[in-house]
Amino acid sequence: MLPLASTQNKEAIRRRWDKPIIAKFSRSIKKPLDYFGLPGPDIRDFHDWGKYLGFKTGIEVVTKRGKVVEEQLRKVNALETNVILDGFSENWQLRRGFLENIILDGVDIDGNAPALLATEGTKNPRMTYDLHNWDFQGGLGYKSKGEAKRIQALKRLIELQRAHPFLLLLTLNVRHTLGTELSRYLTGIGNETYSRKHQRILKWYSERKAIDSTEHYRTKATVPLFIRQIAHINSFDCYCYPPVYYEGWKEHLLHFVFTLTPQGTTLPAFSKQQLGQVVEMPLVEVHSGKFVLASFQHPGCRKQDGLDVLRQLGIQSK
Amino acid sequence: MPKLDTIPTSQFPKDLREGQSFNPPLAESQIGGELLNILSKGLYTDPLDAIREYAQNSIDANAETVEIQVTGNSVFILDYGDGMDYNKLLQAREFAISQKDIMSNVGFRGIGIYSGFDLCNRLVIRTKTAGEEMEHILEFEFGEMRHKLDAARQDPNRPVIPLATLLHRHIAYHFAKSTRKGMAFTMIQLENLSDTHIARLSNLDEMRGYILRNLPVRFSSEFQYGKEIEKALQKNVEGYKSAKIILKIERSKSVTVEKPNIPDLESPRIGFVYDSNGKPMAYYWACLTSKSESLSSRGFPEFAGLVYKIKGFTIGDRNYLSSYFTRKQIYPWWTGEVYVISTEVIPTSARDDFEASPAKDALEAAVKYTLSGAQNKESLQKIALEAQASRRADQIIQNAPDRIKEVKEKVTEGSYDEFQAYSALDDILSDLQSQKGKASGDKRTLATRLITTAKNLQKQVKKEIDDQTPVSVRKRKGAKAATDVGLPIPIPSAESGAPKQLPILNLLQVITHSGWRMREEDVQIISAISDALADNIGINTDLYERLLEDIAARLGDLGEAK
Ligand SMILES: C[S@@+](CC[C@H](N)C(=O)[O-])C[C@H]1O[C@@H](n2cnc3c(N)ncnc32)[C@H](O)[C@@H]1O
Repeated sequence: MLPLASTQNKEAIRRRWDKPIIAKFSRSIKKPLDYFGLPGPDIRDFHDWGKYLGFKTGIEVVTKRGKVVEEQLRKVNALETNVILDGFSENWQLRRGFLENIILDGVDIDGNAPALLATEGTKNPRMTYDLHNWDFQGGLGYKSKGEAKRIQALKRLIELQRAHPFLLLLTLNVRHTLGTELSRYLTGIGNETYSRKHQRILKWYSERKAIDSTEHYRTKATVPLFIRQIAHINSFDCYCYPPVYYEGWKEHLLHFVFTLTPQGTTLPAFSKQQLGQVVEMPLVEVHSGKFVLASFQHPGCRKQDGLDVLRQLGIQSK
Repeated sequence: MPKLDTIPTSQFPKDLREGQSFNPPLAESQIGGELLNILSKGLYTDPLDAIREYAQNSIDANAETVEIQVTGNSVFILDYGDGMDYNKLLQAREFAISQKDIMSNVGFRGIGIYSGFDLCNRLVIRTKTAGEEMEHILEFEFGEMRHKLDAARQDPNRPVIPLATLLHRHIAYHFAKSTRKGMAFTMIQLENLSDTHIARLSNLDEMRGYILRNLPVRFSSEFQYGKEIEKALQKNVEGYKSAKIILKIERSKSVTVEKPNIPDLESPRIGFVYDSNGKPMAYYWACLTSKSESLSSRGFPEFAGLVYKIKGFTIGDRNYLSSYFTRKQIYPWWTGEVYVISTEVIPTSARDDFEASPAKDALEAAVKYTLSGAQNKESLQKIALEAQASRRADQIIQNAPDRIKEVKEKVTEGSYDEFQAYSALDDILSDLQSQKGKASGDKRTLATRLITTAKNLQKQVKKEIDDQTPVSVRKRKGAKAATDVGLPIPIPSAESGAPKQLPILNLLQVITHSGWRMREEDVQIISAISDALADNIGINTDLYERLLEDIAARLGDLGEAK
């Protein structure tokens, strides 16, 4: 169990940020949301969002061998105990392994596929979950391992979910070693836009460094643009909520929420939310469970957009 | 299960921190030597039998609900029974077979927590008592243990593995603070089962059938006599406990396994079955259908007839006891169970019979007497036969008012003359008189009333015959002339003919109506055939009606040909 202060921020995000978004999405597609994600042994997702959830595939990491396995198995046992004792076992399945591997391989370490991944008899497997909660403790990836698996898995996810509307919740540790890669990406996006203003903003983000503790701004800017780009290729409209930065247990995390809506196009789609709105989006922070716009923002930040979202979610900002 | 209170308890390691692993020691004396034999043989275990064993343990721990969940490669068995504290949990590792336990062990393997030994890699027990604030967790590395035993078997030096050491090394304890205040539960996880096993455990139909046969499943709360029977069993069958079992298989709707609510049954007959020395051998309950139809044709073929039970296990099947009935067709009118109490009767390992023994013979003789003993005035067979006769009698009496009314109508409209009316009423009267004794109370009263009515009517008719009304007058009324005028009591004949519209109730009546005369022995033979037809075809069926009509027609033809 995590110390109080850190769980308080996470809890605020689950209950006051994600929950209204989940409720709204469930209303819009008129059904409980089939969940795929990392509920963790305390299954707080189910306790907080339970009434909006339908079928649930929970993933918990188990590696084949090694010292950590024992600890992992204990976690799985605790998770399952909670699922059954707390009454969530009716529409439930556990898949064991790294989430990224399950997405990339289509099966978990036991060789079992997630229920809502149709692989049999088709060359083009499809996934039909309505809510993905990729609540990682780790960061975006590590350069040394080739193309980071997590990024690969995100690409694959959006491809698998094509033609099926879904919400993607993505939580990442700000630590990673893709810094220069991110800067290159942000510069590249800048080169593709004619707006001098956006080029300047992207340049500002690409220059954030670990040394002045603003490294996470690079991630904050990159992830929405990257998801949006993959979404377009797979014919989705992509709406991105302002990223939320918070302090967890011994680490800093960024929380992203996207709504992906299929457009049925053959060529890549475009989103109603414009590139500029994404580039100019402010950063939100949580402190002791309270949401505020971060005091440090890129020059020319559209603060009002952030305040509007907070208001829509029913959150009073200070 | 070994007797727990005979085993010395261990001390809780006070310095243990939450989550820290500890391998509690155990002495060779705490485990019966048989366990090593059983474990090292590498027996094939049916996964259903193993799951059953754990679920039975749950029920023995007073669980009212047991939940079996199959997900991924794991099976979880959860109960809200008493839970275990540290000492009790450690005792679950221990194992001993004594002669006394033989009855609960023979045929069932009965190796407690080790039932899943060759099925899964790991077994985890997580448990909590209501009074404690922590969950105790015991992890069994079955895979590793199997591996060690296999290696030893293959080693030419045949090293002896001390079982206590093996268990000590591969059974680890830890505890976790619990958020579930006041709650008691036990959850068993069998981890990493093979795909074949998972597939079998995921077969809902098979699981449901197996559970109904092999666990003491509770009655549906809707079943009217469930509570009464349950109470009697708890009081009179030692160790009887039952539970509702919930099956949750990944991607399927959850299924509650319970004995079904069978409507339209008479209140249960419940009691001991004694041997010739007056020693109780078994305890039974049985309910008779209150419809004139067997339970198999009423849609409960799985529950038609009676079945032997020992601790939730079904021994044999419902056919087993049908052989005790000499009138087989009446057997599925009953549903019930016979719980074997005698500890000397031992089931075979296939659970399809009992091991041959004098105790088995005594049990069977006693049960046979209860079910169908010729000397037993209250045997289930006799009760059912009487009920059957009484229901048939009721039906005949119930039909009588319509028959009387019909006679009246026919007389009024002139399609019957007095002789025909007289003879039709005679038939009705003879039916009423013969069935009255067999009928149920209120139908008996009705029969008495109807007999008076019919007799009065007959008197009127007779008066008219005696008055010698001129033929011309009768003709005017439109009746056709009787051929056999003058007979004071007309005998029905093929020519005068029983009117076809009359409800025909059985073969005997059909023959009587046809005018063919029968000798005393014929009547007996035909009654038997008549009963057999009614029992097997059912008197309310189209087939039955058609058959009787056809026989009546053919007999009529025969008469005419003569
Ligand atoms: C942060 S917790 C989830 C917390 C939960 N969503 C909440 O809001 O309380 C993440 C859980 O997923 C597991 N996990 C983290 N990364 C994973 C990965 N890549 N694949 C599988 N499981 C992972 C962790 O062991 C942990 O139990």
